[in-house]
Amino acid sequence: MQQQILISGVGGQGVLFLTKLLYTAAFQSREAVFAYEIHGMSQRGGSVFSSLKIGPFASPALFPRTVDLLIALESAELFAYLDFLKPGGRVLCNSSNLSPAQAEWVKSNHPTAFLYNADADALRIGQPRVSNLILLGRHMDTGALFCSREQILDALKTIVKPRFYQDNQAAFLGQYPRT
Amino acid sequence: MADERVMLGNEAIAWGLVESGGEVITSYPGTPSSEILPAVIEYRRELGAKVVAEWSVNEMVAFQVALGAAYAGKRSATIMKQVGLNVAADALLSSAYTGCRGGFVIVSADDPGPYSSQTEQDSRFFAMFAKVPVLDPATPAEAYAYTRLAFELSERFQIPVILRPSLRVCHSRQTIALGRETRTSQPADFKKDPNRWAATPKFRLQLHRELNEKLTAIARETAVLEAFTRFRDGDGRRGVIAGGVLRGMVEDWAASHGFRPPLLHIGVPFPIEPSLLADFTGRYDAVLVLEETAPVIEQQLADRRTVSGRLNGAVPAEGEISGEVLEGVLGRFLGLEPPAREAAALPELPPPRKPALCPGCPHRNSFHALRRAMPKAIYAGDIGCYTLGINMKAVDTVLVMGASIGLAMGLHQAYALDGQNMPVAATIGDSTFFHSGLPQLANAVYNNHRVVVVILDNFVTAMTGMQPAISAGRKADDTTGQPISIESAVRGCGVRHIRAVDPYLMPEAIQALREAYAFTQQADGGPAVVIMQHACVLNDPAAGIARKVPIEWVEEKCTRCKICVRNFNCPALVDEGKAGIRVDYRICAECGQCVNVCPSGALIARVAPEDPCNNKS
Repeated sequence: MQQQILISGVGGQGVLFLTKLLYTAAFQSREAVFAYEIHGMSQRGGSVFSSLKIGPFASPALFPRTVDLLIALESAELFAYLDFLKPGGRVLCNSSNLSPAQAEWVKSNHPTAFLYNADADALRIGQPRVSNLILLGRHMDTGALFCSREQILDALKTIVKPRFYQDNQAAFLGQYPRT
Repeated sequence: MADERVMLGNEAIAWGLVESGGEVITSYPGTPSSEILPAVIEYRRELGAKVVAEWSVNEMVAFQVALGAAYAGKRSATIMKQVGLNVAADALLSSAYTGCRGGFVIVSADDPGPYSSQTEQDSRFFAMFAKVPVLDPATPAEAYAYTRLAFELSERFQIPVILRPSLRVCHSRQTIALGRETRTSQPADFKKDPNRWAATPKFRLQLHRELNEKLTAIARETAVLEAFTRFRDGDGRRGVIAGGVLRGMVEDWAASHGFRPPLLHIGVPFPIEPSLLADFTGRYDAVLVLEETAPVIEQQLADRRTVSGRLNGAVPAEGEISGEVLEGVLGRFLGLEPPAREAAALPELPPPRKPALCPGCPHRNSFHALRRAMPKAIYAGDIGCYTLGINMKAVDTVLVMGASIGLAMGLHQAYALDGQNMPVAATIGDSTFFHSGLPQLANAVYNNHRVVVVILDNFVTAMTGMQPAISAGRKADDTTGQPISIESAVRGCGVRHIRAVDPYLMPEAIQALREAYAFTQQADGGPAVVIMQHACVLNDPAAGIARKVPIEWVEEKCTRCKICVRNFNCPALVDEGKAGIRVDYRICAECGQCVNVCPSGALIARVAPEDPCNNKS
């Protein structure tokens, strides 16, 4: 198993949280993992990205056209990283701020892209911070990840405080009122 | 059974420091090194080790505290970012001569790119200049192993050793198998030897000779240690010498291309046994040197006729060697076809998001007040979150820690020489002030430089991850220290005009700045200090935003002046062009400060009687 994942967003959206969730899931399923994350000034509202290399690798660095899954928690932060996507790789994008023209462009250039307004769901249930989990959960319905839903939930249980687990689990599984 | 976990490179270094018996460990925070000391404190508990760990006031102090312990025979370490080593440089160069008794490791984290620094300087170059060995790990796991080896090397040769992790080692994570056997403590035993510890120039010559002998021996020894030096033959007649993170990147590139060029991995880029490099270059038709950031290994190759790297332009002379850069460099060196690219033209995109002060940040108010009170001033800024005052046109210079006050004096003098009275204001954070603002302020008083110094006190060192402030008196491990009041330190420097004000009270803050400027203009005036006191809203949300004020934008009232986005620059207020302003409720901190900034009353507190937060007021 080898899978490379890039997560982009802006500071405060939970890029680091999602990264932790995925490397914890990889570790618990006994996969070798490299994760790389941005700290420092960019965390103050600037562009943030992190990456994961799951399986046998020798370095944390990403090469162009190698990423299997590109997750954009902020749509504007998708385009800067498209060069990393390998041919046939999948785009997963929180589409709340995506203009119709941009959405059209993504769909025509990346036919397997999955665009979902996770922010709308998250705001509606009054938990703006869980949109990252909502997005990942929707991806699991239709796309491939190196591990199963159950392994993600195990990792979630490991990394979040018990009092947040239920809400986080519901967000990931999409078990909240949709309308 | 080995204890395996996914660890940040910085955490791996911390584990290595504690496990190896480091007993006095000091640091000043700075990206990408900041996570090491907090991890030391965590692991000393976990491993039950007796370790003194402190945030020192600056890197020079941190260096001296740790070195003093090493003089007494304790293993010790000091941790900083690469530009911090500049601050500690005086002590570093001298300590190479005196050496140490207990193992002494200097962790200096480099930032190729740069992403969070003012320079891309290479700590390996500094090691060469100072004549101390430097270890350059490629991965978090190797950083852990090298930390332990650094202590061994340092103690055996009685020489300070630099461990140089670069950004992609510090901030990447990897599964690591950890040891748990901590080394037994050595009793403190300072052996008086003035010819060494207090050497006069005559004895310094002898110490220099001994240093050179140590380096020769270390080069010879590390050249044959597999942990540091690995050679494997490979495909073709063109070889690669790689140091640090580049070694792993070359291997990943080779695995994905099914072509493995011969590779020499150098883990100790200084000192290098000359024959090690010469043998490799002699073996192949051409050699490419890959290292971050300076050509340190490359310059140690005596015969570079077949060598490519940073010096001949094969590798860009600046910047991080990203995957993209490396792909091009290797492709050209090995004569491979560049991959076909068919990039579709991108759709119209919003401008990229710049780093900005957080919603609710009190610094935003301080800068806004400063621009209102001293609109024509030159604003000398400093290093911390508040460097981002640049977005508000309230930061005109950023040089090094403490230089706000230093440059302000020179800027003011330059105009004064020409008979002009240019207002100049320096802005400096609480931690930076203690780090290197005190001598500058003393100079301003002594030489009567008429500048306004604004100390932005948010009770924490925020940018680097919420290290405690000296003024709060909390120590690195959360125990109580002796707090130092900024006001009394300023008074102690002889400043005669000092005002402390909460920048959330905008009119008062503006008034305090106006009075401070007026004092600098009086015949008997001098430098004036305003201390802006308000808690960081990230570190202490309850104190930072005591009363939540949900915001609403009123379309009819908005004149589209855009003061709220252009001047106040809150990221939660989004410029929608002619359509006006959009409040981004995902990130709005509900601080309510923009209400006071909008001149036409278009940003108002949303009345929500059912909201318990509003009922409190």
